[in-house]
Amino acid sequence: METTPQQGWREYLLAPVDAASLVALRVLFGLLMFVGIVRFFLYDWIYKFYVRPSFHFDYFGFAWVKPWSETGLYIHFALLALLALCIALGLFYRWSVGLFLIGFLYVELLDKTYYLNHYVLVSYLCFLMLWLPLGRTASLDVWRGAVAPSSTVPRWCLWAMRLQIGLVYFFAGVAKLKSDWLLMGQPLHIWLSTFEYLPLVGPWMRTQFVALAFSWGGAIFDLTVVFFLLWRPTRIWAYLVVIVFHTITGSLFYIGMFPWMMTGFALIFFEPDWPKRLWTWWRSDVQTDTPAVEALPSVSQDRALRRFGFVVLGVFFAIQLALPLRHHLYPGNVCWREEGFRFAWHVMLIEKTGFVQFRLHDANSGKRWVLSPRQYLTPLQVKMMSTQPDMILTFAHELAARFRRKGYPGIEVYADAFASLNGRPRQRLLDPHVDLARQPRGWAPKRWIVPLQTSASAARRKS
Amino acid sequence: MGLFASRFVRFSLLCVVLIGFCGGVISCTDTKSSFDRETLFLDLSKNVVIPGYEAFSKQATALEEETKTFCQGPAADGLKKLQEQWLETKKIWRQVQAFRFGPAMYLSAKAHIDDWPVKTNLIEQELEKTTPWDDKAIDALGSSRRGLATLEYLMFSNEKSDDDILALWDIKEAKGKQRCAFAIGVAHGVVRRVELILADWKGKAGAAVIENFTSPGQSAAIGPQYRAVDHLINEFIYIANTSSDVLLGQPLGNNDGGTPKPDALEALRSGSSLAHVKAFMNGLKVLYLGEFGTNKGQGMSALVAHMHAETDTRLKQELEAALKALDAISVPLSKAITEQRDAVKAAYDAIKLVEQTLSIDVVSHLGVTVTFSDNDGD
Repeated sequence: METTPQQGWREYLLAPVDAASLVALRVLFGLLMFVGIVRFFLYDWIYKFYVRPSFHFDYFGFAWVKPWSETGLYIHFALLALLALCIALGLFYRWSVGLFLIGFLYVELLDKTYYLNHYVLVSYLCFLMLWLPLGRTASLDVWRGAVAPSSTVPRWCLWAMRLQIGLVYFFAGVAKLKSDWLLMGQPLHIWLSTFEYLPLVGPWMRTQFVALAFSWGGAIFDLTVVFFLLWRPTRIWAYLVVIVFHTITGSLFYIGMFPWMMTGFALIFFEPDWPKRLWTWWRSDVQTDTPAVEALPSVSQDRALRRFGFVVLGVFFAIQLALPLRHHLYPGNVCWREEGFRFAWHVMLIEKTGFVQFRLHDANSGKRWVLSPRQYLTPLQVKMMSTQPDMILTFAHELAARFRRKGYPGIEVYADAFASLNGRPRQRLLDPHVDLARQPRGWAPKRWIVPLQTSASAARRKS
Repeated sequence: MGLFASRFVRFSLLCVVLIGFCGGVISCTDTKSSFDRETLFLDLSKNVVIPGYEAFSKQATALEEETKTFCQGPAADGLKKLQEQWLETKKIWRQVQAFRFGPAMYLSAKAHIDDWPVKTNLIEQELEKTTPWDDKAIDALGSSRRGLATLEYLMFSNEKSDDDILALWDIKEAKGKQRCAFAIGVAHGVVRRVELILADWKGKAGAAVIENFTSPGQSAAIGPQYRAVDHLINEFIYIANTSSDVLLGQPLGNNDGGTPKPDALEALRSGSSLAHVKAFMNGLKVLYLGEFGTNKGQGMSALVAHMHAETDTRLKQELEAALKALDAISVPLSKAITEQRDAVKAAYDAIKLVEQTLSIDVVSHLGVTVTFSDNDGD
């Protein structure tokens, strides 16, 4: 009997493959998350980011997410660290992953000031891992007899993870296909110039050529590396480039755990049994044959449940395909307006600096106020808000609410906001005549953002 | 496949070599002369920071001596001399206070030399004590009960006449004696602290000098030359922001619906608030230009000009305009906030322009991180 292409795909995706590479990724993920959470304690970020600020920039629709008390926050982060270790050890695997995801999302939703692309990746990976049976091998769950051991996973699990990592690289590459990046070599030209004091390479760092070489190299790398990693003949070379690329970016720029994460997670493109091969190569006395994969008892045999799982993952990836492209629904330059900028792998695309102060007017009493955000916000909050229109609007609403409580129900809030994008001359970011207190928050285009007045080519001529 | 892969790898390597070669050739012709940041910071240390602290140390020592002389026989002319000396000392301090890096941070210059506002009720409590005011006792005081702001409270009043002030220093009375002992102790505390800071600066050479321009809170993950620029530019922004929003904006009533707030003036008792705003902005200027008195060398201006000449020219013009706008205020700030509001607002706006240029253009062209946090990026 002949199989249909659909059946062929189904069989291919459900066929068992070695779980070793996914389990290695689980261990790596757990350990990296543990280190990442410990850094919050070491650098006092829990206090600086979530305790000290008297105001937090919530995400639209998530104003109900409020920080715990100071003690509660420290306990929360300690639990996150514990859960990360549990993930690495495969202890209470699904509960650990699920709770870590909820706890991590909670922290991320507290304040968009601290938005980072790699935190989004962590959330996505966590969600994905929730659906993958990664606790069935090399785990304490197996050791304590809580789950049936299995050294295999269906092939779709491997491809789901590869797709997840691949999407990050690919869309990060697509996001770089902008005139600032490709024609001006910005913002890398600005950033690399600051390293001109380095011995030997220093004088090169200010050259346009180096900035453009890095920019084009970065774009080509992001757009193609996944394909080279997937293709066996080029895989090892591509991975060496991954190591070099992330080492360079990690050394030059403030990107914390990101290079470590991507260097580690890119291993998912290797053969699924690479950890075992590595182990046998390391222990040359051990037999080097790859053990045969076992039959698959690890995936639900309930068809309805399995179908539900695939639908969820389908929607999950469809959302990930749509989010990076949604900025095309908005007018103007996404790097300037930042509508559709987040959750879109716009990684290291902008050097944006800004300045904002607020003018308040109460028509009833005729009183006027000129307020600097520095008296209400932390320096990092001020910095992040100064260049992001939605955050300026959020804070304008906060000021309006405070003044309404003080007895000024008709308070008007205006912002004098100026910014510079990728070395362009500064210009107004927002219309100073628009009463922000009366502008709604939401996903509709913000008509009160002043369009970017200098194009990349004009800025290039000027520089 | 193997043959193809081998060719592919060889082709890739060839491309890399070619790109590297072209890059090398282009860079040899395209390389702009690099800026020697070490010289910049050594210059700033030698020409601005050390002479600045020396000038302040001289004035602070004179203030201590004047306080001692005055306390030998308090009289009206002595009080006047003492007040004048305090004004001179405070003025130079406000300029030197712009050097908020290295020793000024880890030796807590602000807390020991001049923190305001003072807590007058606590100072009065201290004056009731009969314990000797030696170094240990002064160092044990909180920052709101020592330093120049405390001396201002003891020497000036915007409510009492000079005769009334003089009466408080009557050394025939125990309270007057105690006031003298306290004032001398506080003045000596200022001298001791500036000498500590000065010794730190003078005791360092080479790369250690650059470290002195950084802040203890900065991440050590990046080099001191980068951190020093980062911190200095952040300091400039702080100075412009404090001068506009705190020293001018709050008294103007910017936070209070436009109702003037004389209580928010920094030196209301001595009526010298305006001079201090000017001195603070001057502190920014001397660091930016690298010029202090007759000393001339490289300042941050040289680096900004190296990265973006247009921004440097603009900032220098805006700094001059801001200082001119402050000069245009012709009465004490306590009066100006009601009588010359437009002039004060013009000065406020002019300083805000400096803050904008620093926060946006300078930060952008120097790739500075405007934050005191070392959160990861992207």
